[in-house]
Amino acid sequence: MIYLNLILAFRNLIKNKVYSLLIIGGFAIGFAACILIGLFYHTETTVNKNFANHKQIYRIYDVKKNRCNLNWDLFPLLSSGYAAVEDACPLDYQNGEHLTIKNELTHNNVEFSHLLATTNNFFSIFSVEIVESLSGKPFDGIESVSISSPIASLLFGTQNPIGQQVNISNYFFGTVTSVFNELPVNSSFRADIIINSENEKFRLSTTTINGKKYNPTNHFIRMKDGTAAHDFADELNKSANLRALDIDSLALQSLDDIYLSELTIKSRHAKGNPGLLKIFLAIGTLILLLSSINYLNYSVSMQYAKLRETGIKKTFGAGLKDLGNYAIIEVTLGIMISTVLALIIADIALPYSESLFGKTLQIKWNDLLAVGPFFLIVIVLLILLNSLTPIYILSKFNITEFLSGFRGKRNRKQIWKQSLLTFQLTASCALITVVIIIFKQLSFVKHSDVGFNRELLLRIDIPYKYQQTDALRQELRKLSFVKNTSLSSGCPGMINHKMDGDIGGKIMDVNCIYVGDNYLNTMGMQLVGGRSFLDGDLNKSCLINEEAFKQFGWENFEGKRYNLGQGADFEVIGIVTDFKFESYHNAVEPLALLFTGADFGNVLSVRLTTGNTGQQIDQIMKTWESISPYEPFSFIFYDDFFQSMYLKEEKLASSITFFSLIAVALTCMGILGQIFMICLTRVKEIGIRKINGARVSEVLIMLNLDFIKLVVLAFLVAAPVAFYIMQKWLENFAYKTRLGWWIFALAGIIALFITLVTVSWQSWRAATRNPVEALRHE
Amino acid sequence: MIKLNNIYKYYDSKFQRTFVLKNIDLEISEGEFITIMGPSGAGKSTLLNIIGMLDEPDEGEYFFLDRSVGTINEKSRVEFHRNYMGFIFQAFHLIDEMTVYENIETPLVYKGVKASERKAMVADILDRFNIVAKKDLFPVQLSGGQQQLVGIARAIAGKPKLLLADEPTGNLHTDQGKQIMELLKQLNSEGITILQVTHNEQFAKYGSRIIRLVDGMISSDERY
Repeated sequence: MIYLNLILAFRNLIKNKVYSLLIIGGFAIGFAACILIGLFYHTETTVNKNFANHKQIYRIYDVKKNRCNLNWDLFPLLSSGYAAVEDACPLDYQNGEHLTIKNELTHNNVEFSHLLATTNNFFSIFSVEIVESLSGKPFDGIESVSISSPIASLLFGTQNPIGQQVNISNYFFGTVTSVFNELPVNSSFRADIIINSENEKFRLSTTTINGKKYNPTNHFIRMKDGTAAHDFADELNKSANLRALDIDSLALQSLDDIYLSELTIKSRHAKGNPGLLKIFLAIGTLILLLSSINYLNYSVSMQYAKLRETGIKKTFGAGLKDLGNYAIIEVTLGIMISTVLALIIADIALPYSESLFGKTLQIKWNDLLAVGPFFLIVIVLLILLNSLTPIYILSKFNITEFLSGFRGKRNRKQIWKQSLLTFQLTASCALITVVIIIFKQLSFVKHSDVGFNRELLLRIDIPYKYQQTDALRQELRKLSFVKNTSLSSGCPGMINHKMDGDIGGKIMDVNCIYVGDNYLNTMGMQLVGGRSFLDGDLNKSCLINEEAFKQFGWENFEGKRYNLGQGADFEVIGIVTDFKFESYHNAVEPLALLFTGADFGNVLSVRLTTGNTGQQIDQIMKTWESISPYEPFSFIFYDDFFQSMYLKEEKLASSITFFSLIAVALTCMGILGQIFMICLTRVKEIGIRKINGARVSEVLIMLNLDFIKLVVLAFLVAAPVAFYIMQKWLENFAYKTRLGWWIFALAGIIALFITLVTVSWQSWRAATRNPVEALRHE
Repeated sequence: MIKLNNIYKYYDSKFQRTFVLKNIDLEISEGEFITIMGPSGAGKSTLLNIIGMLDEPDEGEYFFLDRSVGTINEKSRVEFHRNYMGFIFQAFHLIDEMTVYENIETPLVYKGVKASERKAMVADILDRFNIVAKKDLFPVQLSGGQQQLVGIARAIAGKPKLLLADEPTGNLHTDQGKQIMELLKQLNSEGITILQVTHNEQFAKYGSRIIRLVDGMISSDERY
């Protein structure tokens, strides 16, 4: 019986090739998208869970002061014998900014991205595997450096790295005492080089409070199994003299929570975006719903088309159970085919997941096992839903009505179908609107005034303790295409100094860039008031930005001073227009340009004239190499650099667009399917209309009208929903684009257009058919 | 075998009651070959459907083999269809996705006949009707007459007691029609009760009794 049913089901599938392909293929694509989103969601929610002891690892942070960079001296306190603490370590990070490690022997240079400063305890807390070591421990001695295996092979090749001298960015000098295997991929932080922060000189950050200097760093502990974080935090707060360490009151943050945490503490760890995750989840659910609705409509339509066949079967002895069995087999066949296709598609698309989600999904078996059951349940539910609905229909209908020749009840089940279709159309309209707005905002943000002239502006990274800045600038000035150069410590996009200073009595946090001569000219910054720096202003004057002026609450700036303490006292001589110096999400913060000559500046900004940029870079590089052959030449254009800040949002935009396209395509398939069935069932009616004088255009209009009504309804529902969602999203931005009415109108028109094309394409044939043919099958 | 008492069938709409069948009293014995005739809209097909348990009367009693079956549940009805009745339609109503063999086989599958027995039974019928060579063809590949042949084959595969034919020759031309009627006559002589609805006076004469319906009521009932 099952075998026969299978054959019959298969033949039925083939009979309606186009429709079946459409729905099954569509479902496969939608399901594959859901699988990918599900895997992404799983990856994001299991960050840091690949560390063996992740459940017991916590980071300490100061609740009142809202920060996790605490005095290094908290470390000995934590290790001093709390029963709940099995192990503790300090952990500080330096990421990105063109770090280099040099093999002192061979002068071989390798660039790397992630530097950690910590103690031996780190390796055991985070279960880091040591490949080789000098003496069994990762660090042995005050100037220990541990390097990762990949760095080891890049820097030392086949040589043994252990015991070799290395120089990190001309700042840290040490000995390689061990080689470690890289941290698990799905983690919120990475490590290329690890240095021993027992050595005060190896600590990465310094700060001064009330005249006292100390090193802020993260602190991690491994708690004893079963201890409640809350209890230990209380114990810690009660027992220690934290005030002396400039700490207010402490709490514990679980390692698992760091990535998606809602806490606002500034952290160097990779941060996932829980909002984004929710968006993807919503889109994934939407796509699943759309595909399922399509499939349901398909099943129901097929059922109606086969009413005749079902009736016949009933006349010669088929019971409800037999018909039910057949329905289940038919549905299972279709869904199984879809699922297999979906798995294949997902497998093919996996390597490209980076462009969709911003990170490559690395999938292992246990990931699949975690996500699998959910999708299995979805499949089973779908099969049930899709088989029960036809069975329900079957039980309700009367054989005689159709045996006598009529072609399927029309206006009964239409309400269901129409509301489902309206839902699909609403989702599509909303998605189209959302995509348009996202792109508008992105382009707005990219092109809105940056406050300084980003074009043709080059940024050269000056290594630490570089001696030849003056010589370099002289040589560069000789090049015909160099208009101006200026030295600074920090720059727009890389703020190195955020100082709290005394502003006429108030203590405020201000971002600072230490600048040398010619800065405003080189950068193309504009003054709102006051004047720019003159030679006599050296170490005496500063400029502030409009936001700082606003926040300081001054009426004018004449005579005002900005006092950083320790003898650094600057007179404010003017106001510069706001320019973006951080990711555009944040509102513009106060900024001060301090004219100190920036002799120890790490950025040389070079203003170029138009010309062949490639050649210009070549010449500049030659100049660099002629002056400092042993230093790596590292540069970037300001506009490229700013572009890269938007990379994440651009990826978001493109992936949302991608998935929206899938959703819209699914809706189109749904529409196609429906119009397909309508044409089938209304063949006779159309034929009669044509005989009675209807023109092709009139028939087309009649068929299209039903759908247009739905689109309008869908649009009316979708517009406010999309508006609301986008308002909330735009709150993330300091600079928002306007949500004009024309955006919604455009979305509506696009939706309408797509619907018209889809419907007309299919109904064209029905409308132009020879009515005689249509009426023949009587 | 069949006893109809006071059968009424009507449709109510707004303020009107339209009668399709009015006060039908009918007795049919086993082995008869009956033709039901009448103008269009007289209620012939409805009467046939009621007798064939595809429809239910609104009033009156229907006894089949001395059991009251006017209103029976789904399960019992299915039983009757499987074991006692076969249907032949004007439009043949074969399942297009099944081969000739499968079409004939299907009622047996529903009856629960074992596969090997099924094979034997279907082979028998194919043989009898001389369509063995066509057993793997699909209905769309057969002519009208051949399709009706398959329809009849399917209807008698389960050896029913009663055969109900609704305009069996309606879609066939005269020669094919004659062949079908000859076949029916032969089946009747083998003991199957046949009830047919037709417009064709000539084909009506194959039966032994003609019942004429006019406006839902029996106007005449003649035996030959």
